[in-house]
Amino acid sequence: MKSPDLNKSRRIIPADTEQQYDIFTGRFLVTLLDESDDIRKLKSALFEKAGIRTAQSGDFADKKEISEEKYRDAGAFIYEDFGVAIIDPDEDQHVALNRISSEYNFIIEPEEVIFSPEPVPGVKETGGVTWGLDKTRVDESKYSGKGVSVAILDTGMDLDHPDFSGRNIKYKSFVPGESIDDLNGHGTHCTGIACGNTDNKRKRYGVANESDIFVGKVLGGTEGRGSDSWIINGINWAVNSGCNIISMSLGAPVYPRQTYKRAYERVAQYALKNNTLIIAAAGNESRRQYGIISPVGSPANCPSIMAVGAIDRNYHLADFSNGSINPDGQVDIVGPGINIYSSWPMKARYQMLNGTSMATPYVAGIAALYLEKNSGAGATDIWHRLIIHAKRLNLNSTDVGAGLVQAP
Amino acid sequence: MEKKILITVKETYLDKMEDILESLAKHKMKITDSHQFGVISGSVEEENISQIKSEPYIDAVEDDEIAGVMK
Repeated sequence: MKSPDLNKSRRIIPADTEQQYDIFTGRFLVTLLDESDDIRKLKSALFEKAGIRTAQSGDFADKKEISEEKYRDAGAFIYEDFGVAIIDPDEDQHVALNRISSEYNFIIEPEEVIFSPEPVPGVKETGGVTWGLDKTRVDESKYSGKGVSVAILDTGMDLDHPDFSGRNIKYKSFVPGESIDDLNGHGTHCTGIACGNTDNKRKRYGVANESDIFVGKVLGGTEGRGSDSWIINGINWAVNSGCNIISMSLGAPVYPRQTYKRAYERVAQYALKNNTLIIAAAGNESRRQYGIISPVGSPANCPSIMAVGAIDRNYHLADFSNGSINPDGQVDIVGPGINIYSSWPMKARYQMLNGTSMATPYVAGIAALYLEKNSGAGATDIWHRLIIHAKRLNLNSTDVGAGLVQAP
Repeated sequence: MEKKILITVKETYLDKMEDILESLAKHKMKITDSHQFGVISGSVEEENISQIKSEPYIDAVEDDEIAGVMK
């Protein structure tokens, strides 16, 4: 395993720039959640499920002699006494590890570069909040979404997640035969971004941390799939429950020149008339490094739904973020969508994900802050405020719309 | 073959939803949900769809497709 170059961190996940991981080494720490778990199980999982060869502390007669130089040929090094492995995965291996993390009861966290604690003039301290909250200025906002109802229509939620204890959460499943339980994790992650607060180390990751939460489960199974009609049922529930904002990190790809679905546009117009703003993910089908830009997906391509693209911490567009290819499917705004830290169903508790799925609840949460500030404002007014206050970016408006969402 | 569809009703017909549901039942459509904003979901034999499309209250007939988390 190679030592990280701390002056130039590496790409692990589809990425835009070298600089975006400048606080991470590019390697990851895998930690068993239950110390009593057999470390051999983790070792076999790393090899068999992710193709990562391991070395371990037991290979050293004197553990004080352990050094990176001596295990540089392995893809992972396991500290058997701690139940921790440090790994150096490629993209596919990273995806495979995320997939088996629940089954093997471990969490994956990026290995951070440890900086000198000396303050550097002019550099903002961001240790207490995620980068997304910093760049959208949520951490400076005096608003918390208090009195605003935000609906997350997704894969459900882990209602027993300790970070949400004491929060006002209403929920309903529209997936036949399934409870609100989040079998995928995506819904718990998105809810955390839009409406969560702080993690167990008091690091803040959620935007509208005093909002009222409505969780509508419209995508089922471990894969997180659902039908248009379940989603429309979920929107109908949220609107008629008086929700002000609906966040939908879901959708389906569309072809170039394909128009929006009339049924979604009708329900979105109904929502706007009832002062409910629907915000949806533009989609992740683009592969910009290969010159492929895919159109904004459905239902974000509806004129009456706000479509959200994704950028990284350096204001660069995410490689996967869809663009305004079709005449009626425009990207309206962007949010943070690379290396986004948020809640995840227990026991893992937290997860880092990429996607326009993550950018969307940022915009939804910030919409709730605007509504708290401008009590009584209509949904189209909130839409307008999100757009006019967005931070302009030196990127094509067909990719980022008005720019990066900013908190009031 | 039976197909799941979404029907969007013209806005000028929104006050006639009960009549429309009766009409769709005559086309042997099995209604799953009907919303006040004029969207109806259900399933129907594919061969009946063209007749439904010709009804004056129809704005659009679209497939009820699968969506998912954004991967």
